[in-house]
Amino acid sequence: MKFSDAIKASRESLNSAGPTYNVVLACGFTPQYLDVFISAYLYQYNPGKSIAITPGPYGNILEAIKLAEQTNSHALVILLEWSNLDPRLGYRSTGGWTRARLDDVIDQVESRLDRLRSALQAIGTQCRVSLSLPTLSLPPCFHTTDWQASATELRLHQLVLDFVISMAEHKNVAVLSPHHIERNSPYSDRHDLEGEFHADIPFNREHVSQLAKAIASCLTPPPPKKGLITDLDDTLWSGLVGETGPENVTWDLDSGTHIHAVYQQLLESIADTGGLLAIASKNQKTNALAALERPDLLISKEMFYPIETGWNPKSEMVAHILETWNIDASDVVFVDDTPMELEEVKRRFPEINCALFPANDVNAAAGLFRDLRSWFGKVDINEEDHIRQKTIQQNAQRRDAVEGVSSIDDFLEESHCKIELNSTKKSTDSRPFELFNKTNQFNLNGRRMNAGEWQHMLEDENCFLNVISYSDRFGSLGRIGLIFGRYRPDVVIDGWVLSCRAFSRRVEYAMLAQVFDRFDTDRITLDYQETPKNLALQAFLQSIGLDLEDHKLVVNRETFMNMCPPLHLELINSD
Amino acid sequence: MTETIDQNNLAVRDRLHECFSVVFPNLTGDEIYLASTASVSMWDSLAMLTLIGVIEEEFGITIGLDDIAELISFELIATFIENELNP
Repeated sequence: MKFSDAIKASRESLNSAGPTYNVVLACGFTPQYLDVFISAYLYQYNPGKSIAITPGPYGNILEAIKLAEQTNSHALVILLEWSNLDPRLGYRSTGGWTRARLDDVIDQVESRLDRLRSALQAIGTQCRVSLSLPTLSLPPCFHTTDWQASATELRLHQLVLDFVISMAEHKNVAVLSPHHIERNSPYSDRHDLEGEFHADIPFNREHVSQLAKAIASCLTPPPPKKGLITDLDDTLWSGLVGETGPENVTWDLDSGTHIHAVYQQLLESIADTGGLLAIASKNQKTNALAALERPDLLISKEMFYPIETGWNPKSEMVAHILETWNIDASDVVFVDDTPMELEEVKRRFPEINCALFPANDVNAAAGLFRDLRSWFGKVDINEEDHIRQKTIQQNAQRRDAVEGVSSIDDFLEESHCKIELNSTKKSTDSRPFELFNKTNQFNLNGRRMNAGEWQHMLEDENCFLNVISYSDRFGSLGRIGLIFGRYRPDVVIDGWVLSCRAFSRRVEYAMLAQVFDRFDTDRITLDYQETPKNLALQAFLQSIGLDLEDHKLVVNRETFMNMCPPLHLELINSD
Repeated sequence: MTETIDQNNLAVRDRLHECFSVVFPNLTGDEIYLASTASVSMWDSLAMLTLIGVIEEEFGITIGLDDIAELISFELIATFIENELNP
């Protein structure tokens, strides 16, 4: 981002009428440019929000952490450079570089990191923290040559690493990846020594921009993609299975096609963390399945569902996959080695992310793999991630089962549906937060919250939160819905989402009925907002007699109970 | 040749004007041309660093710290840039 564009965006965010996102910036140097770029990127990723960056007291990271705690900020950004841990590790101080002084430096750094650790643990889960390791090199203060690392130097790195590792284990702390920073801001180009001497601004502007971008991404990461559709020939493997036969497609070092093995491994990893996988391949099904069933394939065929093959346009295959998954095209990535196929799919689904598999350029393929990791990366993995693929297949079985049943009521009765309700507000459980931010079709108003805002809601004594898990004779869907709001003085529902995997079971009726029962109230106000995607929610609201022209919808208990269909659901309270 | 230099200098002033408008959005178009550290209260040392950053990015030049002290008005900055681009 150009500096002038960052200034304009930062100014625009300050003038925004939207909710304010408060960030405290803790760094031991002049935050010139940094606050502007962080604000600009945060505004880009959170349009409409007013971004307020408050630099902490100059040169004092501990006081800045206290400031974040006292002002109940949504986020805290900490940039650690060596000179913040001990001034003698920077160029502005002249404290001496003798061996005795460096021994003292080690002690001071250890002590300072301990104090930082305590301060950050005290802030707990109050806000989201973005933490950066030192990005500038140490000065030449060690007795070894420039090309040899001294034990003292390595000890310093170890102390910092131990510290950030202990911090990275906290779910609300995001440590900037040094490898990501290195790729985007080469080490040799970062330091502005003249700026450091003149105004204590040690970074070149481009490095500031890259740091700020990574910080903003850590604070408000985009929701992960939900599904990946892959081609087979010259993508999952090298070669054309229909031409050479299933036994002759390759993915190994000897054949020079190992990049496909790495891709298979990455797909397995994506599935392991809850990503859905499917195949869209112009091949005969028998050939494709024969190759997929090879025991040396690094990913099991069972991880792909559905497997679309044949000679139809790929966009038709993708359409069928999206329908089976019941997710939006914007949540999906399509990978193919043929630009024409990518273009054909993109024309029909402009929102889908299309990525070229560069079969003949392993370095470009490595870049693709990093992009895939960023698209599907998650802050936290939970139980639902492990069962997502299985539940899609179970839903297909449910659909098949329902066709043979005389009525939906009979089917639901025979399915032994159970919903488990949990109303404890656990800040360490990331699944409800993730569910709230990625559900579109059954979503009361389409609003999103960042981690800081979610935490504030959990801590509000006047707020309630119900998280719903579902299971039936076909298996468990895990946690699939939540409803939250306020109950004093009146019951108002501010947020309500239900995963599309749980549709057609009347779970939404049970969720609303439970709120009526829990608070023993005769009326509930819904903070409803129409969105382009919440058609499923709109259909439900109309089914209980609500007029969607009203902004604040009021549900009357008696009316709701009269219009509510029979609920063949066992409700279990798991508080 | 003179005409080309004049045209280029006009373009420099237009681009410099845009840089000033980004850093000092409250100044009118005419005020920018007359702007100096003496006449614009918001033009402090931090604003100077921001302005220098925007100018360096716009014109692809590096302005040394020794030079910054002399660049205290729109006109002086414009002349400086013109000399940098047309040595």
